[in-house]
Amino acid sequence: MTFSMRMLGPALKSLVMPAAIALVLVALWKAVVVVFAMPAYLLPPPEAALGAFEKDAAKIGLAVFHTVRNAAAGLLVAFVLAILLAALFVSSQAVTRAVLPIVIMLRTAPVLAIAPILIMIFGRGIGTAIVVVVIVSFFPIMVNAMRGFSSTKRSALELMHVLGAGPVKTFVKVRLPFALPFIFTGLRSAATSALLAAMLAEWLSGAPGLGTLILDAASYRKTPLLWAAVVVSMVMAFAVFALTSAAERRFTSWRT
Amino acid sequence: MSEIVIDRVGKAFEIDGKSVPALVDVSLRFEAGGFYALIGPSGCGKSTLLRLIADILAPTDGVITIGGQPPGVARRQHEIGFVFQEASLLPWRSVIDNIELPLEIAGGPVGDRPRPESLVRLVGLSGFENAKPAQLSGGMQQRVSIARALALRPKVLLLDEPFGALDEITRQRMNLELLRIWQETGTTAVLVTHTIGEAVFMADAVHVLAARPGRLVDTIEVDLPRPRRLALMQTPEFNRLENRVRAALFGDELAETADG
Amino acid sequence: MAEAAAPPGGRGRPPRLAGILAPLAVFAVLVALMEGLKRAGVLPVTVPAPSEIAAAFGRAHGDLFYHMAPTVLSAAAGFVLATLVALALAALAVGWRPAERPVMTLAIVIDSIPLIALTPILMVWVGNGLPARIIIGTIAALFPLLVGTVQGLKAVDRNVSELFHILAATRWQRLRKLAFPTALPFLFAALKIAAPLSVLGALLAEWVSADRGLGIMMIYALFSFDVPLTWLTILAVCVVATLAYGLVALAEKLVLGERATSIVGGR
Repeated sequence: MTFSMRMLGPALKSLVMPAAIALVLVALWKAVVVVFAMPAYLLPPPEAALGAFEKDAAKIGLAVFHTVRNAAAGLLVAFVLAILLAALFVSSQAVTRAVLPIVIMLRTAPVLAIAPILIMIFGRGIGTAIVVVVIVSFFPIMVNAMRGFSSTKRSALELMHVLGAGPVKTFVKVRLPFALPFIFTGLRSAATSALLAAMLAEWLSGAPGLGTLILDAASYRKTPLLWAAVVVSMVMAFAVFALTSAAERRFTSWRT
Repeated sequence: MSEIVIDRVGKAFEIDGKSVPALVDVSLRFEAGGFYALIGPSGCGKSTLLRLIADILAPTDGVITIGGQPPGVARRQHEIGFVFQEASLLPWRSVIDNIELPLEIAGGPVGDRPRPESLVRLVGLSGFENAKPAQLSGGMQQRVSIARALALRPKVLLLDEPFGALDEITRQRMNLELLRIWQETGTTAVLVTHTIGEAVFMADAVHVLAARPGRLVDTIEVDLPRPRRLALMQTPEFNRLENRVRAALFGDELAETADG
Repeated sequence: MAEAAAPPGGRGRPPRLAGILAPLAVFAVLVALMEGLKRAGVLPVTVPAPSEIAAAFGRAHGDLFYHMAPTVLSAAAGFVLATLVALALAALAVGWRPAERPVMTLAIVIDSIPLIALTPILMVWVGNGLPARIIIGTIAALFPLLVGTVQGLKAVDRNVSELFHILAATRWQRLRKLAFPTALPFLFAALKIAAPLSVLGALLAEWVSADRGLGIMMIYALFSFDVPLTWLTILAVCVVATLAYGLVALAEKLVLGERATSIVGGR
């Protein structure tokens, strides 16, 4: 009983707070429209956006599906690749020294800027958006995973050695648990940019998705649809952030 | 050079909405220019007491005065020097700049304040004026922090386990130097420690505290001659005083072991 | 001297040259490999030889610099603006307790909104000119700056904080002599992350709508399938972003000296 309550408390709190903020924002939105007598092309009232949302629900739903699939698939591939490579790299000091500076430079470089190259190489199909997501999400996860794998306490490694554990056992029992908080931090920072990357790649390559929907709505001056799609993308982004932060907290709790 | 009077002082902390007593009904008097030690197990409130004197914390009950005035007044007149367990130096400042920090903050005329250069010499760090803290050993960092505490010629010097993180050999040397510095400056010193030998070796009186709740259980007057030298620690007199402190600390536990 | 200690300033320098040369060598090998593979006909048409990119620079460098100027301008303005806003918000969040949660929540919300969703709306409001691109550049760089500054201001050691209390330091002394110097390394680490981000923000805004800028030049090159020119513009963006990073890193070295984090040591 107390256990479930304790689990429920923060979860409820973390839902109430954003919901309250969202309500306030919508009220503010409406107030701005009324008070400043905003013309609809500058800022449509919330109910107009809601109307567009209802009218084009199928269209928006499909766009969300494409974007989420691209982002999730890309994130998954990036995650697996990044962890594997990070584990490989930290096993050799020499490789770490040669590769890490490049990886870090690439992480700070605006990786998204190379999206046009990828679109050129991989064409305008569905796969391109996934590739862009993979490239964008790969570096933050990889850098954090490498930091994580090398954050293992020396004494813990020595203990495993004394206990006669092999490299695999040492990895699973010691290196991985030590690295988990770092990995989830990387995943969190990768997840929101994955969404942005997917939307951008969709638009640049003309593939269906939320990015294309938003920018087409903008260029055809379908303002209510634009706002409906933008709000949907915001809610989506915030959900991704909340989910990955919860995962991060879950795996970093023992550190404090 | 200021007398410190602690009159029926208590301190409670608020934890999860409940009031937890950290110190109960402590009354003490530290004579001006004397050297006093507070000893006790962890959780006995000895560091809390030191922070009450320094006006970092406010007592829940009772009154503390430094030279007849509330600690807040003494603090604002820069009469309090404090040495923490960690040297707590500003890593971007050199040795001399760290020692000058209190002067910069206090401002005003230099008056009879010691020159930073002479403080560097006093704590034996000549030649290291421009070194950064990261380049110094733990003992040397703690010397800087003592010099910093003395920069405003404080009337009261509060030391919170200042050498607790150092090895035994370094600690003995630092203690000897601290006694020399204390005698040169004539300040009233209060030392928090958890080492029995250190307490007896340094102080005019050792105040023993017990935990849960933190309270004063005994005071052992140390009438050993000054200046004190290391050889003193081998004398039976020193041993007898150590045993009295030990008895006050362990009480019945000690008796049980002796019976068994 | 009772204790052993390293003499002041006597530390050996780490082999920094090797740290620069190794990645440089890897880069050179990659370029040579690309050239070789292209000549051998292994690479697809969409991947040009480095020599073709160089040739594109020869024929289009006038255009390139013409388009580079507004990108650099909006990125730089966005970066400066983001730094000022982050400093103000961080001071508010740390200096006034009740403000911390709302400020950080707002920052998280703004950061998690995909920039591409914000851009068209912003352009409806302020037009697709320089102001819109500067604002996008600001938003792109704001979050890491804010988080870094708040972390830095809060990184003050507890004992030192007590020391400042014992010394009866004023709020201003506390800020100038303690909080600000403590926060500086964090601030620089954040600035290094933020500088390339504001370049990306400016680029993104240009992708969505602009008459002039590296972003729009890139889009034109892409849509006319001018492979070397597309690569050249992207390379130019990477160079601008790296230069921005390098400038901040240089400023860090000058201001912090030994306290500067190495390239690898950044958060």
